[in-house]
Amino acid sequence: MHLFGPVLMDLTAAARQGDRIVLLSDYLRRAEAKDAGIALSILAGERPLARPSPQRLRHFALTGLSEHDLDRAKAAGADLLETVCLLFPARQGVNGAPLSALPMLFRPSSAITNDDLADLFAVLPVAERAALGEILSGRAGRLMSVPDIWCALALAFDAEPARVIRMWFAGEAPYPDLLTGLRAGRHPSDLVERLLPRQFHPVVECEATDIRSNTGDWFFAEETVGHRVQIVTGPPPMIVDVDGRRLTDKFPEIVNDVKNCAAALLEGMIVPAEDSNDPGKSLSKRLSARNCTAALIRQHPVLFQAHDLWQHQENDLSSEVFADRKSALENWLAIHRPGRIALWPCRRGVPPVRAGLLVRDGNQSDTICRTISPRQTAHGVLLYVKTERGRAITGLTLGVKEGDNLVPIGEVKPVFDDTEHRQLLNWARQNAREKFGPVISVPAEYVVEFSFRSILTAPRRKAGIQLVGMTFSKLCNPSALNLVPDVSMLIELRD
Amino acid sequence: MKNIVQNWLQLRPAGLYCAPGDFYVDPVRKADRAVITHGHSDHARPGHTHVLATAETHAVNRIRLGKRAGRHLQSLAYGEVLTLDDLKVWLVPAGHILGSAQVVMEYQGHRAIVSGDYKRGSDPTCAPFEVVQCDVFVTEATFGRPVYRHPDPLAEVARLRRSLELFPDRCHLVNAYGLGKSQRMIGLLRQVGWAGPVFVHGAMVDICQTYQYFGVDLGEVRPLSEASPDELAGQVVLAPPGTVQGLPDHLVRDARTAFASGWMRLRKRAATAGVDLPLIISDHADWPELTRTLDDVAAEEVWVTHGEETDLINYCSRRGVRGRRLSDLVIDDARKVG
Repeated sequence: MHLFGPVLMDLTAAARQGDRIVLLSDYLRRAEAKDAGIALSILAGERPLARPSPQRLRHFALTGLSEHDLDRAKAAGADLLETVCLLFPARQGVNGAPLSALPMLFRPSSAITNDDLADLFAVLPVAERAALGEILSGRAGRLMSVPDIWCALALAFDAEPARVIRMWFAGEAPYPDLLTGLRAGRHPSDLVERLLPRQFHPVVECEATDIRSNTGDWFFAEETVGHRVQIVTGPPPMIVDVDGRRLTDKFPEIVNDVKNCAAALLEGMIVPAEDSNDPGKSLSKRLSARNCTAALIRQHPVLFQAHDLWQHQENDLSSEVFADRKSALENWLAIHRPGRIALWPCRRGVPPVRAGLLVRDGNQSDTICRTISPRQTAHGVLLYVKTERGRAITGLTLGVKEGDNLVPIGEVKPVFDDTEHRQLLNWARQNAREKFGPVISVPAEYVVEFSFRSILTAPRRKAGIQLVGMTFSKLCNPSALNLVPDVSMLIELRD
Repeated sequence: MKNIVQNWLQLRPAGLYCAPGDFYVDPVRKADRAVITHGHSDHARPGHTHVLATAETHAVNRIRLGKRAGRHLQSLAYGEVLTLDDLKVWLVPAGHILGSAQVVMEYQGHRAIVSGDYKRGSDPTCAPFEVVQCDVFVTEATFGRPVYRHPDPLAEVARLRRSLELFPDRCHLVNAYGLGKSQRMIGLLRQVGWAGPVFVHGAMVDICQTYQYFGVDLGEVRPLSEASPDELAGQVVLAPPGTVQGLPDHLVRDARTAFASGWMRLRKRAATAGVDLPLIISDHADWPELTRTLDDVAAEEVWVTHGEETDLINYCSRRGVRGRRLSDLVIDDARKVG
């Protein structure tokens, strides 16, 4: 953080795209491998940690600050998050921590707690907390576009070829062409448009030794439809998810399969066993059912994808390197052959996706520790703005081209700072074409970059497809209208 | 005690008036006798008849105000005591800019200090702040809110230095106040190993020469007007805020801009400045320095002259010290620089 903090603030201030690329590539050259990976993840908009609500943040702040100080400082022009970051008392002797020492930043699928915040503030001096505010608020994820990040990576990687970052693409790596173009002074945007698949989102892998058991401190969530759990094979068998909930009763068939297996602690995820149009719905039915009946099990069968083996016959394997744990897991599966537990990846016909970034020390072998399927990125035109009581924007309906027309493709929940929110809300009010209840129809001027997980066929929708897991990335300027894809391009992506 | 001091150190429309010495400290109107703490224009006003200040402050005032700096100028070195009947007056360093001083007044066993502007951090271009215990301490509160905490200035200048290495083909245009901040920036740049010339806006040339005359080593400082466009690539140019529009197009167009000010602490303020590199460097005490100073001087009463008084007075009251707001003193706050 002591390296990334100043760089993040410089990136925030820099006005030119080229400057940001230079600043980031310089940081990547200097940073530790793990830090670089996490920084890229943050800049690419990966923000698994939920933003703390103002009420919670204020409640937390008042544990260490007087109400007078907090209110007066906020009135000075700082927003609440920035105020807390600047004001919350620093612990004596704190010298800062590397980004990789802040696992609580990347806790998936859970809202930030007061304990998380207290831990963060305990290890960061005041000087580095401005950057923390940018990260927590989600603004850091909107500083650089994905192409800019690729360019910075290319420049950094060229500086030290034996260094830590490798770029993988699903197809051929166009990296040398990119580098040649950059050296020749070509504008990065042109090169990226032509050479790099824009839909690839940088994702980060890290050494499995960094993923801790029992604490919930997983760095990265799998981008697939599933529910992350740990299975203790017994006796008695037990299934626990990341929030500590016991799910043993929800999945009796898996419990039955591991009943006679040797004692082990498996880490992985429960996934639907059969492909369907909406696998998430299938899984949620299993998770939310009060009684897990035989009919429910038959209609919505599940599998357990094993990723890791943390304990085996009372031996704690967490200190072993991942390769050893992986082979131990393979041996365990070969001996016990439980019917509903498979080594990742278990879904038939789906090859492991190898797109993303691998961040590791140069001397390590090339074994893949963990691969995360990438989210895809696209642009959409803002068609409708949904407001709550006319005061807060709660949803943006986006559209894509279909010939000369625009068709709605889905809704995203926006992540704005106060200024952007005010600006967009005012614009929507002033330019409302039609208003019906909380929904305002607006002219097709604003472009939003969003990401999604997968594409499904949806004949009842106007576009004929449904994007799964749509997430807001950033607002773009109107000049990005030409980046809005045609619906046929998205259908091709699905195929 | 407070009533006793108030008997001879009074608030009048022209400023703080010391009755036994018959002089004002940093008066905002023309006065017959004035003691000036430092050369910034919100403290050193033109038109006084007799002016007492350090020699450095007089030199600066002569450049900035010319003949209007005062009809009769009297210099007083730091620590040199001037006795006016029962009143003793002497100046001690305030650590703000070259020649800046706190005015210490002692009368009938009671001591009052008017600190002017001050800071506690290190500054290669001026003498460091000196703590003198007193009964009444008159302090500024430019950054008198807890949210203002300045980082290490050397670390901030190191960011500028890093930027110079990363963008060797770009001129770095640093907005900094012409008196004090600019010279401190040059001194800090030398401390982080910048040996090249520093180009300064025409309005700063004379001030820089004054600093060098008084023994402050600024290295090679060259007027911007003498530099050719090609020469400025990868160099540092210092210019006062607001003069950017008057600079040559070639300089502004490709320059990487920076702004050195304590106000850059807050993201919104930094965003308003619209520069590539906001540098949090200030010649005013931040909140920890202000509170540390109040603790150090151990005054029974604190008078806050200008800035953000509320929090500082609140801080005083929490410690059993009487805080007094003097915001009705007509000091042009808008001209206060960070």
